[in-house]
Amino acid sequence: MNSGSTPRQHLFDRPHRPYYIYAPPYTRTSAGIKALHLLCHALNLSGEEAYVTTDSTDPRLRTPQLHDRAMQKHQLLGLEPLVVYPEVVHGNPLEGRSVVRYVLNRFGMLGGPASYHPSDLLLAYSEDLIPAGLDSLPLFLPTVDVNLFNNENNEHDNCRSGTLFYPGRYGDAINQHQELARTSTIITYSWPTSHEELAALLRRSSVLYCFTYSAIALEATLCGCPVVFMPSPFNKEIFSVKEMGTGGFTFENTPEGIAKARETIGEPQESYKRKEQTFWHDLEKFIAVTQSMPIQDKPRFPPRFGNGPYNGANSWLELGIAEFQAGEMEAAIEALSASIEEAPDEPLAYAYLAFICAAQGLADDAGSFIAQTRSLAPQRHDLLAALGESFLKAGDPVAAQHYLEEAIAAQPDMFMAYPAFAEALRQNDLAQQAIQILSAAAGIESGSREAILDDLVAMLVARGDLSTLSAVCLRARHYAHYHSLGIRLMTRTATSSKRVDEEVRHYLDKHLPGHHLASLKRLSRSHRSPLTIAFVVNNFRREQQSGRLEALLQHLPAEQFITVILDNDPATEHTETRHRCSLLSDHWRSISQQGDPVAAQELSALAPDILIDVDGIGARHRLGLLHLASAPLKGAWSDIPLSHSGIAQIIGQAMLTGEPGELPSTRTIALPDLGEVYCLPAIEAEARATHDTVALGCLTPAIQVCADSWRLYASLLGCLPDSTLTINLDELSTPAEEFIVDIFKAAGIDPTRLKFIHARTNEELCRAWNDLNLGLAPLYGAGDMALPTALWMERPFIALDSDQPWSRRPSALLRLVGLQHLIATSPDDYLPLIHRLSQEKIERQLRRGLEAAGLTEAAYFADEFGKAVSQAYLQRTR
Amino acid sequence: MKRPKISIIICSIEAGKFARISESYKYLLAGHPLEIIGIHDAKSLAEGYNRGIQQSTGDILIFSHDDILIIDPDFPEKIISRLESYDVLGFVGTSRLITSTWFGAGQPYLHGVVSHARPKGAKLSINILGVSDWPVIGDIKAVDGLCMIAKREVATGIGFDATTFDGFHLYDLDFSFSAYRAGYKLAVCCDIPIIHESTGQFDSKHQEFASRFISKHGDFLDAPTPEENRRDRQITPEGRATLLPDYHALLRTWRPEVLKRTTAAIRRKILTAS
Repeated sequence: MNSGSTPRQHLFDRPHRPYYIYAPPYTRTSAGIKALHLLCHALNLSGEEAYVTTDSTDPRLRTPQLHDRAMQKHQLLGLEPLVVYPEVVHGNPLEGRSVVRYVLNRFGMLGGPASYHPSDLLLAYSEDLIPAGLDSLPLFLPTVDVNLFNNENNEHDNCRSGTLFYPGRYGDAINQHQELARTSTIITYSWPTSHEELAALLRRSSVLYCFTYSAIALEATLCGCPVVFMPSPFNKEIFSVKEMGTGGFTFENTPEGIAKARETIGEPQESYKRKEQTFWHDLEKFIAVTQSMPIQDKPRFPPRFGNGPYNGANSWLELGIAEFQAGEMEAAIEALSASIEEAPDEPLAYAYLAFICAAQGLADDAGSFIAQTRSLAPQRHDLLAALGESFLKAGDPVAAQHYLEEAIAAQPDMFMAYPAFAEALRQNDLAQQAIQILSAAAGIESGSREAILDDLVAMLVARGDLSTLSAVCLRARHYAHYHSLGIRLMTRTATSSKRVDEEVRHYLDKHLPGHHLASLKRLSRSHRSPLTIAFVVNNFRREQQSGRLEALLQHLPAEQFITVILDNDPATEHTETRHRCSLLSDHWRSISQQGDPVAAQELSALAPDILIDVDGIGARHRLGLLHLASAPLKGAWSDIPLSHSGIAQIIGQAMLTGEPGELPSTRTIALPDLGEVYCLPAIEAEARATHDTVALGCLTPAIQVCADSWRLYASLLGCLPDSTLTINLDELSTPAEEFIVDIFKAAGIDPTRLKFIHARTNEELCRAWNDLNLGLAPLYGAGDMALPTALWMERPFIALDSDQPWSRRPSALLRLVGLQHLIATSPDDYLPLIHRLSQEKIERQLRRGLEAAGLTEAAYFADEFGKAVSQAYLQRTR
Repeated sequence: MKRPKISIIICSIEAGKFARISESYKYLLAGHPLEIIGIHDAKSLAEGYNRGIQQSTGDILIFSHDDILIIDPDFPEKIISRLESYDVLGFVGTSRLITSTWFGAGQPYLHGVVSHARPKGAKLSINILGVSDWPVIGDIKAVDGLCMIAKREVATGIGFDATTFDGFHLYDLDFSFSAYRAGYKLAVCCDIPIIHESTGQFDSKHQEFASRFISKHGDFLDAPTPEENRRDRQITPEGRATLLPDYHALLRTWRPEVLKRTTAAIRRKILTAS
């Protein structure tokens, strides 16, 4: 409340200048925002006229919203407002001519500018916040409601119990201090939901572990609860020390440190009372100083750079570039124009004006400015390329292609421009040319090579062009992830087993050095029960489709297995399966952002007995982690053998050929049948139409189907004039559709006979099968969930027999349900089989066949899996 | 055989919520003799529920919040058959009571499952406290008040203590624990999915009613172990929760094998930590 010392004015005195306070919407959880609103409130209580710029206020405070009528009135009366900004605000958005910067945190700490205009008045919430040498006015505003946050009449004070854990902005705090978090009550931004609840907690708790310096630390000490500042990037310094001292605080998480904090807990309570009293005096001083602040000329541009930086810039050009980068185009144009007036020979100013024109769709003006740039700096081809990129971002790929092509023609080794150039080509329907450009550039060592490869791979993936993609990935085999992706893709094309095996060995030698020693090493560990089994999961969407992981987590007996999920899936949108697995697993670690050494180190705390990568070799596998981690038994669920790696191959018995080349049984963990389990939806299978039109379907995702398969299917359509083919693009889109259509067109097939769908879930696959009468498995690869869903919906499919373990699954599935007569020994068999099938009524109930084979029995599957890995573990440790 | 009449007693000051919950119960209990008693001016929940008991004529009384949704077509058959073995049914509760919250004793004494929905929230949470048995867990000492189901004689015999609990807290703990102390058998139903559109946070008045609860029942609470004394009393139920995209996913998760294995994981973690 007003101290009463402000002298009252005469009734007809000229009114004081108003205060416009640039405040975000009110929230009780931000001390800085509260301070701005309270400043407005206190000024109004003191007889001043103050407004906030937000309509979201605390109704208990006198904080009117600034509106046009008030501003018009002030203008009419000639009252130049005093504009107050928190330190986080860049520039002068209200165009105030007398500006106050209320410094509520370290400059730049929360994203604001690092310095201010020299005429701005700095108002310091704490003197600790003002760098030495800068003048400021102190105004410590007591934002804590001591009616709530106090230690008076506290019956709990002598019997405090329980600890509190406040991570604040340090999101990793819980991971880093799991035990402390587990045994403490965790305070978040949203809980407790009221100040009353928070105060009650602080009044009865014995200590607050604080990872982010904020108002809660002061609130805790006022409630008599000592504060331990834990190591964190958000605790590196604390401020308000000059105002409040450090009583009740400690940086030492030791009994002695806490005891010392407890001894001094009364100090902040005393200091705070004093500061509450001095606040009104400081406010009066603030009013007196601000009311006589000079009124600056309304600045079109920053006045003088010589006197110090303005928003960090030291010249018009720097300022123009900074404004451009901040998206402030009007300000950028003004600053760049001023720069040209000052230094007309500076090419960058013209270049940036060209970029701005490009962003605004002014192609002709951009052309004029870039011509000016080139006349001043004919060798700066990079600026030409940058203009191309600006056009690309602005959605003008034609202009983008023009400038990027010109830049690359002038300077072919400007590799950083290739991805944008390729993207412009792609957007201009020149995808093939884009791929050629990137392929050529990817073969040359340069600083942009990885970026070029990334773009090239993304473009090839989008087209579903497996052969080219595989070749590109294998050429980039010095990158482990491309190498493994290349190997996985080889298994979906007509590559020999020998070639795949060579590449796997190459991969292991290069990326897992010393792997062959691991196969000899035995970890002696006394037998223990339960066994800790850790699963590396790279793709929860795939796990949701297969049902395998949930089956294991639900049904592996808890008394025999402690389960750990190592979440390596970077997807931000979490699947239902991921959520359910987080309930079911005993432990959960996120490793997608961790390198292999860090992940292995953290995993060691759990001492897994068995460590399994559920995806085997592939784009996102973590075989490097398996290699580094310490576990007696390591396995990769894979149809690609990992010879001599020390990592056992987990595979269904039906996928093994028993050929001499296969891994010895000591290096495989063979599961019964296919080694799979399915959780398939209760969708009724409609009767298979036996009409003249043969509705064929290849519902294996297009990214798993090679061009050879498409060519075979095209030849089948050629022989079956009334037939149609449904193709599942899954997550792919138009580029893949175009790629596939081109293959069919080349074989003389009318594209209208193709139907493209996007079936991403088992439900969608099942519904799609209901519209078809015959399935086609791809020539190579496992065929994914498209095949079991076909059988589930009583749709037979034709598959090619194969000796390669990664291509045996389709025929193995057919054998399991008694459809071995649908296994083709060569692609030539497909047509006669289709003819036969289109006439034949399949009497056998395929859904029942899947069930009879135990493929839908989650408990059975988990039991068999548990037995197999336990036995392998015993062999490995014996 | 004559079907028992069911009385639903709901204290509600929001007409929309009351209409919605009434319609929900009518649908849920279709074909069963039913009355829905709305108390719209309760001075406290205990006072409101007592008035509801006086007005009721049912054999089974359900004391229900107005912000819940029960998703089980077999709900009436389940509660009728279970009230042959038990006297009071709840959805989450404890088999050990050491303080003035039903979840204060922590694991492994907490039982049941509940889903929470935040108003305008895009997802549902499932909060698993413990499902060591299926579908019902007996030997319960107190239950949460989001929905309590009691035989008429228990409701009329025990009643709600509107003098001591003249606010909106701890009426449920007092009612259920009083029933337990009177020798009635309490149980938690695990197989009836229920969604609560609230998270039941404490407010500052909770402490006051907690003191009153301790004064009334303190001598009959379980004695805390030294470990429990050392540990801060829980202020939220100790269990596992996750967010699910929708109602269908909730039902796919609300299955015995998922809930039991999750319970094993919860209790193993507690055991390992201690």
